[in-house]
Order: sequence, then structure tokens, then C-alpha cells
Amino acid sequence: MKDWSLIHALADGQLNDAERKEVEAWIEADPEARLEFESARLLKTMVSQECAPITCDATWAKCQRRLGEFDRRSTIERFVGRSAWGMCGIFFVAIFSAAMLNRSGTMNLKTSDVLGANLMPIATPQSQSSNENARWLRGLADRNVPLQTDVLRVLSAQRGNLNGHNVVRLDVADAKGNMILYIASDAAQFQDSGGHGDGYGLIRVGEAMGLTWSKSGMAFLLLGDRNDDELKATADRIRQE
Amino acid sequence: MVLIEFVLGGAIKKAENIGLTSDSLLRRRYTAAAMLFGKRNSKEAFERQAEKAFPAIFGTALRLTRSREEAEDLAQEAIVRAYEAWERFDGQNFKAWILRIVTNLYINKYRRGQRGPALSSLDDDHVGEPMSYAGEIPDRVLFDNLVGGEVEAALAKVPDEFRVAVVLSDIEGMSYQEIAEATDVPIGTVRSRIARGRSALRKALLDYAMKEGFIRAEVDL
Repeated sequence: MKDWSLIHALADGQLNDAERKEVEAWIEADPEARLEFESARLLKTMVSQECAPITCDATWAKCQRRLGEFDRRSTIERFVGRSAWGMCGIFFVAIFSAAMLNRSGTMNLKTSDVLGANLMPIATPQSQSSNENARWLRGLADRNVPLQTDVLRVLSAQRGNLNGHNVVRLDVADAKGNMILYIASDAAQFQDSGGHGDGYGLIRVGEAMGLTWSKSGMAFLLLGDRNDDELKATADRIRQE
Repeated sequence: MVLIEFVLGGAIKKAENIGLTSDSLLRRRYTAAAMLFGKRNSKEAFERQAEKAFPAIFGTALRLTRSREEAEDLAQEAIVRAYEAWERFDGQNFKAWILRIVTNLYINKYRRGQRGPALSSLDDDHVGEPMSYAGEIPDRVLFDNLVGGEVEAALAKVPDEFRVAVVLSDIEGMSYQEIAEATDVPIGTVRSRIARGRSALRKALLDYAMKEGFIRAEVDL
């Protein structure tokens, strides 16, 4: 049985020499094969002439945009692929540093947090001598506390921990009356007190005035029922310069 | 790029000749610069080739899908796929290479979603019958009355697998070997699909011409 597709292959110039000679001989001898050959050639020519390439600038522009997007995406993927470990490391270091900062207590405290802190009463010094008070304070803070202990009488004391800070509340008295002094260790300063000059911050707690200052890595808050100038004068006396 | 290669390459050679460096540092710098500029150049080269071949790409996509919307999607996807594989292109025949991608995408993705007759039973490599018979309307008479739109419409009626082969062969001028690679079938199957496709196309054209009254069998014979 004859394979008529060979005639189409001849019209397309896709036969090797041996096949071509064989099919040419067939066409020579068979009018029906000649007709098929002519028909295939005419059809091929007509299709190639009538079905022209289709230009479509809008679609090509879309393709270019997609290539641009592909390039950008590839660049980002390559960057992420190469830098993934580095970025993980940076995030880890950032999180770890923030945690350490938080724990180390170099961050600031709010006076409102300190005033609301849950503190436990502790024993007060045996006597009110300056040396005894200083020794007692050193025992609380594990370091020298910059206060003139001879101008203060410690009436009672409480102690507790707030956000990793060791907080001590002292109810103290001087010649003019009672006051409350908060000492927060490892805290730079109280962040919510307004400036008052000479290194003091000023706050108001109810009817009482408060002064804040910081020294030797400790933050101090002095509350007393006095106006701000009197309170500042008191603070000047008890601050150890 | 050529200038950079020339300058950097020349500098390395000169330095090596006078014994200043054996290799590594300059060559590493040269490679880095060539890669940096090479990437941008590579995209430009791809776009140049793709833009030139785009009418064929879009035309083939349109003739395969028979839907402008799908043809746009197919052409865009083929361009992106080709760009992804650009480094693997052997540099021989870009149009054949990218039309192969278009055809593969069409067969694997779009063809599955379309309804069409299963042609496996017709996929015999042997074609037992001619497409035209003595006594039928002569092809010259039939074809002379037809214009592009009618041929396109008739081509759209040709079954999928046959149409792919006819489009790639007669419109895009691909060889049987290239069509075989594009459609992943043996050359014998390509040959029979082209013969059957042309036969179906001729029949569709004949039906159209008769229906529209361009020719009447009894008069034109």
C-alpha cells in the first residue's frame, strides 16, 4: 500500500536522496501521485502566502514588562538566597541585643511604674548614724550609693524588682519633714520627668512634687510635700557630689 | 562589553607577558566585570532575538489556541520560559527553539483545557489515501478565489495535532526534524500529520468555496 505522506514530504523537500528518487519515479508513473504532489505544493504555497506573520506590539510590550518583572524577582531571590543566613544572623543579633539591653537594665524606667511597683518591706538600719546608713545602703545596692546619709533618717524601707531593675523605696525624714526616696539600680534615668535644670527632672504625683536625677548608673526619685525649689534644695543637700 | 573584554583581557595578557602577575587577581576582576555587564547584555541579546521572532511566536500561538486572549498568555509565558532557559540556547536557530517552547506549552497546558477529538487512532504514520482525486475541482481554481481570512478560518477547523504540524511546517518553515522535536513525536508521525492536516485543510477550503458560491463543481470542472 502506497504511503501518500511521502509525496507531501517531497513537496516540503524533507526526503533523503534515495527516498526522493523513489517518490519522483512514482510521480512520473502515476497521474494520481502527480496530482497529489501538485496539490500539496500549491496548498503549501498558498498557506505560507496567505497566513502572514501577525504583528502585535501591545503584546510584545507586555512581554517586555514581564521580563523586567522576572529580572527584578530573580535579583531579589538571588539576594535572599545568598544572604539568607546573613539576614537570619542580623535578626538574631538584633533580637538578642534588645533582650540583653532589656535585661541589663540600661533602658529607662517610668516613674509611674516605679510608684506602682509591688515592693516588700525590709529591715531598716540598726542606728541612724551616717556610717551605719551608708553601710546599710551599700548592702542593698552592692555598691556605693551617692547619697549624703548624714542628712537623712531612714524611717522604713521596701525593696523589689521591676523589669530587671533592683528598686528600693526609702521613707526618709529630714528637719523639714518626711519624704520618699526611690532608688533604681542599673537605670539611666526616669523617662517621663520634665527637665528642671541642674540635672534634675520634675514630676508631679498627686499633691506632692517629685525630683528625679541619675548618678553612678542609678536613677533617683525624691517625693516630698514641698514646692519644687524647696525640694531641689533638699535634693542638693542629699546628693553626694 | 566587547570593549571591556578587550581592555581587561589585553591588560591581563600584558601583565602576564612581562611577568607582573601569573593570574588570579586580575582575572577574577575581569570575570566579575564580564559577568556584571554580560547579564545586561544577555537580556538585550534575548530581547533583540525575541522581538524579531515575535510575529511568528504570536501568530503560532494565535493559530494554535484560536483565541486572542489565550494566545497573548501563551506568547508571554513562552517568552518568559525562553528567557529563563536562554543560557541553554545553543545559538543555532532561535525561531525554531522558541516555537518549540510555544508548542510544548500549548500541548502541555492549553491543549488539555480544550475540547477536541482524540486523534491517537488517526496517528498512523502511513497515509493510505491521497487528499485530492482526479475529477475534483482543480486546486488552482479552488485556491485562486481564496484570501487570507478564509484560509485562516479553514485552518482553524483542522484538528489540533494536524494543525500544529501544518502551521509549523507551512507557515513557520520548520523542518520535519524540528517539528518532531517540538511536538515530541517521531518524524514519520510528523510527515503523516502534515499530509492529513493538508487534506483536512483542503476539504475545509473546498466546503467553504462551495458554500460561498465561489466555485460550482459542475461549472468549474
